[in-house]
Amino acid sequence: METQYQDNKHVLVFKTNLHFRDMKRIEPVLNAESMIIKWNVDLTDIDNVLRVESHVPHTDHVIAILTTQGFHCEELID
Amino acid sequence: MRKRDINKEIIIREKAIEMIVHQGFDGLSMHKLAKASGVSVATIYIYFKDREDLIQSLYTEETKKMAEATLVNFDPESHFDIGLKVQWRNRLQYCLKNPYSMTFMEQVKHSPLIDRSVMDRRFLDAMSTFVHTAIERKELIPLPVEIYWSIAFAPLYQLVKFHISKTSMPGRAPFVFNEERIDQALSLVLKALKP
Repeated sequence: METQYQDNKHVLVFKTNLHFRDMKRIEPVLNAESMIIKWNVDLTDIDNVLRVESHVPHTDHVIAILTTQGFHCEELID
Repeated sequence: MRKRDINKEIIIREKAIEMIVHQGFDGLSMHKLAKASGVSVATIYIYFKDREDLIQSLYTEETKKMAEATLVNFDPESHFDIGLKVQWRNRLQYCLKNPYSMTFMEQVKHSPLIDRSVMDRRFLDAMSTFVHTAIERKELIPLPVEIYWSIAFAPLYQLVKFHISKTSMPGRAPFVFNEERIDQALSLVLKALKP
């Protein structure tokens, strides 16, 4: 799901299979992405949601990054 | 492209508090919350970063509402007896109107999940002025703040709990907190706090 605020910030929400032990691995990869302003993974809930605040609504790109790293990642649709 | 919908956010907040009150912090999942609020899981994450952020945000918002309600018509420079009466009334009104909120705030007090260090500055200043002015005027005995709070407000909250949950001591009929009983309890509290 992708939503735009007035300040042109998009919130992208994905269901993943990321766990605490995977954080070290994905941290440098996601931090290096210039389209990503902020990201976090909700490890306390069952969907292990990856939440991304981005300049652009490129959900496919985020999915590609995670998939390349060997993780499951699908967009949560509204 | 959509904008933030304040009504959706309000519903999500209300349902989350209800869920925590009925099922505890562990009973709150984003799936159940989405279902109860009639929104998608994705929508919840638009407003809240994660589950912890949601719970913290609920606490911050409820604290603010409680603080605002407590300060209605409250003059921190008033005589201690009058000021405490206004506060009792305001706090009581707030709890009766928001019973879930009151229970939620109680749960929060015992939870390590929440940072309780942030409190409305205006509220803290008003309470501090009220107490220090009253001590200076010899309307109140100086006490450690925990003891002061426990004597000044814990009786009120316990009686409100009896009233809201329609319970009492074992074997007794449900307690009803009416005008007469408010005055009765408050006068004992004031007596205990007098120099």
